[in-house]
Amino acid sequence: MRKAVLSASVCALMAVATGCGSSGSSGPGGTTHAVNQTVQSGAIGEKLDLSKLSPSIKDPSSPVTITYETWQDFSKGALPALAKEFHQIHPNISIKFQAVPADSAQTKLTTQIAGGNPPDVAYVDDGTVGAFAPRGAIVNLEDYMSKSKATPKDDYVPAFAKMVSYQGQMYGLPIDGESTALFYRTDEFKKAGISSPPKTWSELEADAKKLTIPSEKQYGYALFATTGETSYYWYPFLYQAGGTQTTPDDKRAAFASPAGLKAGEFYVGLRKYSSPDLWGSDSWTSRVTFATGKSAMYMAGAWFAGEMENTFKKTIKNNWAVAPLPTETAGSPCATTIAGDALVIPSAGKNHDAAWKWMEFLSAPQNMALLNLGTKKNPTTLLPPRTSLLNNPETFKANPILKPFAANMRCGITDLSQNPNWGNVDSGPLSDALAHGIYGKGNIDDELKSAAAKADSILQAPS
Amino acid sequence: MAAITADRPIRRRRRGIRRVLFDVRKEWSAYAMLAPSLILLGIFTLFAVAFSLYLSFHRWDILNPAKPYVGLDNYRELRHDAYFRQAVKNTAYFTLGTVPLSMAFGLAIALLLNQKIHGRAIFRTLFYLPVVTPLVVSGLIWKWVLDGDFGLLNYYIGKIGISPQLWLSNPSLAMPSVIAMSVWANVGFTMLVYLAGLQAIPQEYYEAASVDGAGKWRQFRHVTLPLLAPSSFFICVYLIISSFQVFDQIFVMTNGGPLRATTTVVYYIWQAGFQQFTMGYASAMAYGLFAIIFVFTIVQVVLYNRRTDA
Repeated sequence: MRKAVLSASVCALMAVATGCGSSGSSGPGGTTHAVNQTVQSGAIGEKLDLSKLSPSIKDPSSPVTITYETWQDFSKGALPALAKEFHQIHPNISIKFQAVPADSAQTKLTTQIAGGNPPDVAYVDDGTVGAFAPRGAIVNLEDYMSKSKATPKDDYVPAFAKMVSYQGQMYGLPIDGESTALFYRTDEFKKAGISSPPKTWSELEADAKKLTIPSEKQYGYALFATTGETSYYWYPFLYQAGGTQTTPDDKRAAFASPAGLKAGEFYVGLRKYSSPDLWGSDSWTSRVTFATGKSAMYMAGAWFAGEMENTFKKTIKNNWAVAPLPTETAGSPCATTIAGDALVIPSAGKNHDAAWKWMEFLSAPQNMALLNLGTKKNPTTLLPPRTSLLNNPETFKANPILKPFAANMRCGITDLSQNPNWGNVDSGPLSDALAHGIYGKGNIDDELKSAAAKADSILQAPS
Repeated sequence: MAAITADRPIRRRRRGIRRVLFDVRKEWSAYAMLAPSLILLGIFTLFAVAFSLYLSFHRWDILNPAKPYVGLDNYRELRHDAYFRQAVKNTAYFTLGTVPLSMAFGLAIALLLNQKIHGRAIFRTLFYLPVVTPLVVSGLIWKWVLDGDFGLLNYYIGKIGISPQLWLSNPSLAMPSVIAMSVWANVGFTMLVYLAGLQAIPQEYYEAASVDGAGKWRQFRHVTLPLLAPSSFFICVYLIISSFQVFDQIFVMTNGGPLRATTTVVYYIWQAGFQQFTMGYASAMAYGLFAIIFVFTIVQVVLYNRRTDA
């Protein structure tokens, strides 16, 4: 599994939960007709005729129930209203929601598939697609996509399409996304006499140094040395330095290249400006240290903005801002990691066609916008992974905070190796090497080199 | 000759089966009441045990029904896996810390609560409470108590001038912290077994000992401890087995970290099965763990029998 994106899935949980929670505040009321209006008013994006998305795929002739497994909030807001509207258009298909906690979603789906009892549609972290597709556990969607007006392949942001692809074929429909950016405390910056956010690695380090006062438990940066997190937040530096995870043929590790070592040294060097108590933690648990100002800079995805806006509004007030990730030197290429969630059809499900109808319905531009951005009145903070929506000026009118993230997306790199064993490298030797460096238990260059040697044998083993 | 000896056990077994069927007919209501547990045990334990043995000779990624036979490959891999070795070491560390401390504290509390003190029943209940609390719940509470920045423990030790510690984030403190939590969770159980053991010791022995001039310590050393040996043996075997299988508190409190310092065997089995999709290998590890526990238990039984025989 690609643990790299685990953090993002947990985050997406919150962003979506708070997002959907508020987007339909007037709620699904009285008649179904009224529901449609509630949902649609203020929706952004091209308004396709939802009843004619894929005429060549027939509705079931007798009533079926589709189970939709997700950690999105379906108790209120957009999702239940969309399900009602969907049932109106497809009277023979009813949607049954099945809740799953984000951090155990993949484990649950795995056991459901093994037990021959999977949901018809599942909302999964993009990384799950990479783990499931090579094992034949989910349906290749290319054929469905070509028959549907809701899912033009070339409209998906290429980096997101790549994350849900296996051997060039899409096995998941990207439904929401985010890129990683740098959050910083404007008040702490002012106190330290720094006028603008760092634009290069050396500025980042210099600022972090100025912002760190260990005796007051005040730190400039937040580093995590836990499995999954440590590599995930290292990748942007690896990419910026020009490094990659594996060789182009996916057979050997490439992260211990000179670029990789440079990125490793820089990243691990930030340990001096980061609270040791956070090393064993993760970006979700430690978000409170940014809200209270104890970590003055924090690298995170768009979900984090939603958390500061909603959960920590009273603590942090307006003392924060977002900047694109610094680059290695002024003018050197930008790079960031992106993550997101996708809809998949487990192969062992019984109603593939009906499952597709629900997926394409949620993917129609107006519905995708609704799920990610909320309404003008109740904006939420995820990014729709479709070019047409990202280029739509309406998109950011209600959500200006998303602008840097969308700008970042052009730098989005998904160098996620297509080798099905990459997840074991990421959560094994690579995470260990970076963690050893952060904990000061070894020289990062040697650690990365020996990790790469171990990685080669993992990558070449049968999956 | 051979035919006769071979015949006999079979006939005896037949008789045995008939006997069981007869009993079932006679005591059907008892079996009917046992049925729900027996069925659950059959499905979730016996079947799982057999299926994982089968899996340990195959490769299976859970998602794909194909399970190619790989012979002893999984077991061979076990021998070269440094992570598995470290997990065994961590588990041994955990067991060595948890078992003696749980026994010592349990005995001490049982001795105190065996006396006529006020609120005895309340104390017994309070000490037993952690045993009936799910480990996931108490693990979450302890995680917050031990938090480096906002934890209660650091707050209180700060009041007496001790600098705050990174209980769960420091690789050398994480395992001791998990051990402390587990001792806390076990103590009610060991206390209860020791209390029962203490109450089975006839008062006359103590009277005889004090007539012979034995003080409190010698009474404890030469009367109480030897007569508690069966309780101690039971607790010891039980705790060693459960400590080797520790999972819940690790899963909740440390996720096997920091730097794999708390990755125990069962936690690693879970990672291998459900995160890395190597169910066959995970099953082989489970049987490796079974072998370790089995050897330990046999050694304990032999040692105990030798002592009681002597």
